Amino acid sequence: MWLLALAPVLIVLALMLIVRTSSSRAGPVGWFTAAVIGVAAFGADLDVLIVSQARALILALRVFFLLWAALALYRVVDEGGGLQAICGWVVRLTGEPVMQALILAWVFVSFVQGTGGFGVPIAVVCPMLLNMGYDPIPAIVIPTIGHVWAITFGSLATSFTALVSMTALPAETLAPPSAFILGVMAVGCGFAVAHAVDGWRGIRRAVPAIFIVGGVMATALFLLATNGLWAIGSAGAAIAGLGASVLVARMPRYSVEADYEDPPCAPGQNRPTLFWGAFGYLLLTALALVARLADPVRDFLGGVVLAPDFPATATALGHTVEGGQLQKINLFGDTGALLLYAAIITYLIYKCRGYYTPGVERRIAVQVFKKGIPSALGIISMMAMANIMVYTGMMQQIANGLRFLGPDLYAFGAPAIGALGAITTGSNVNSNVVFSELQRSAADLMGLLVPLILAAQTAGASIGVALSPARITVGTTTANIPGKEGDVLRVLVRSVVPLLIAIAVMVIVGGMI
Amino acid sequence: MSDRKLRVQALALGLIVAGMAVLALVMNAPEGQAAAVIGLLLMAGGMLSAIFAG
Repeated sequence: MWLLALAPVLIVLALMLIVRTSSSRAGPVGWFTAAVIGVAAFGADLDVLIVSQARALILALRVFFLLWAALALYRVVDEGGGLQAICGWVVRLTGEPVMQALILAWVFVSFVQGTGGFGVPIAVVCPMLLNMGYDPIPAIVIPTIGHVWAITFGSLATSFTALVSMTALPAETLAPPSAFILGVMAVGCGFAVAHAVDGWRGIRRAVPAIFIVGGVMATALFLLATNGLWAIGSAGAAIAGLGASVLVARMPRYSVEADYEDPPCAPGQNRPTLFWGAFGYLLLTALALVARLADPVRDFLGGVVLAPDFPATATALGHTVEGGQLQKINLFGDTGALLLYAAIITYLIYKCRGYYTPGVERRIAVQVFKKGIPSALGIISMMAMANIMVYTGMMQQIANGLRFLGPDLYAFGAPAIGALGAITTGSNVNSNVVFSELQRSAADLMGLLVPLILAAQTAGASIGVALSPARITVGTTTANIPGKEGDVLRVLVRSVVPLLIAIAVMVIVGGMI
Repeated sequence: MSDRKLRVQALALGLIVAGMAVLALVMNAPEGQAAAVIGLLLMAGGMLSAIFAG
């Protein structure tokens, strides 16, 4: 029974790791497997399937809303040259190579992850490093390891939202341990970037910058995430980090003149200043703060809520799931809605100020569609599969089977489970969807701290994303070295495994405290 | 990614969401079993389309 329960996950892993299938194809195969096993071996009837899939839809709608709106805002800003304006400012801060790499491939790339994500950070920063004279493999590896800490609370906290949705635990409970582990990881990522740029010499040059900027980012992340602003956790932390970088870059050891010229504009197109380049994300931050802190605004936006009443279910084998209003979507106040407001307002302002070239609307729509459809397909099929496993008791069965590891070994391996999920599915969201309920059940059974284990799950998944074939392929395509994925993976493994071990140690120590 | 593949994926996504929406609408209706079967079939069609999208 244990192996049968594990079969859908194993099949998804095998398809993605061995056959190199995308998540948008592996997910549906996993869904069929889970449905057949659920009905044939775990006693699921029609009612169990109906409720599990209805709940998966509500979960998926929330993530879709966020995903599509985040992609739209990113395209709106990028088409207007906003991202280029921010990049130019970053590069001009210092001409010192290690500091430049830290600002670009640790702080700025994390900002891009905080606001966009979905492979965009590597696609944006890798070409900039190539222009600065880096070889293709370091140009892929450096930004990849630089932004992994920002993935869970990045993309407007899509991954964290998935973790909350799947486990039905309050975000306020899950945010503190997750933010703490990821904050420490932020500092670790700084060291990994400095080492990748110039070995131990790079680390020696970068120590003050890493501790000051990393400390600022870790503190900002913790404060934002634990005060209900997890949606802008990574973006806000990276903005704070950029501010700290400006000051650190003026330290005598980093104060070197930079040589950088903006690319030319199209005829009739205006170039945004730094303020207008960052306007979309500043506006989003302001909207998130107002919607969270101003009661009248929050009440107004929270007027329309989608909160279906799920009936309780029971399988023929006696596995029960309680009913009730298990998930709700705040249609006008959800993070996805705030993103959409920011995207629309930014588009209108950019249009008025002449930042766009003709045909921009079609380009934005096409890019959002092209990026959004495959991602959405992977997410919805994985969510549907995971919900079948939860409602039929398969997840509970797997958790029971993992008890033989014992609590200490399980706690040490929890980040690796998250990483494995992300490596195979290519996303922190998908890893959380597939494994968070399993991790919660296993932690419950073994008497471990559930929020800590779930924090390890999502932090491990962030690292796994860096090693996923999907992300590496984005890098090799951007750097124009197709077929070199294995070489990139080998370098990445050396950099991220110490981070994974560090998370495991934090989980063990956290459990003792 | 080719336009054909993207169109098939969009169709698959539409079928899956439509099937799930039918299930969400009938989950509290005891007489909605026939509609639920149609919903599950729509989902299965969408999943198959995604697998064979190429």
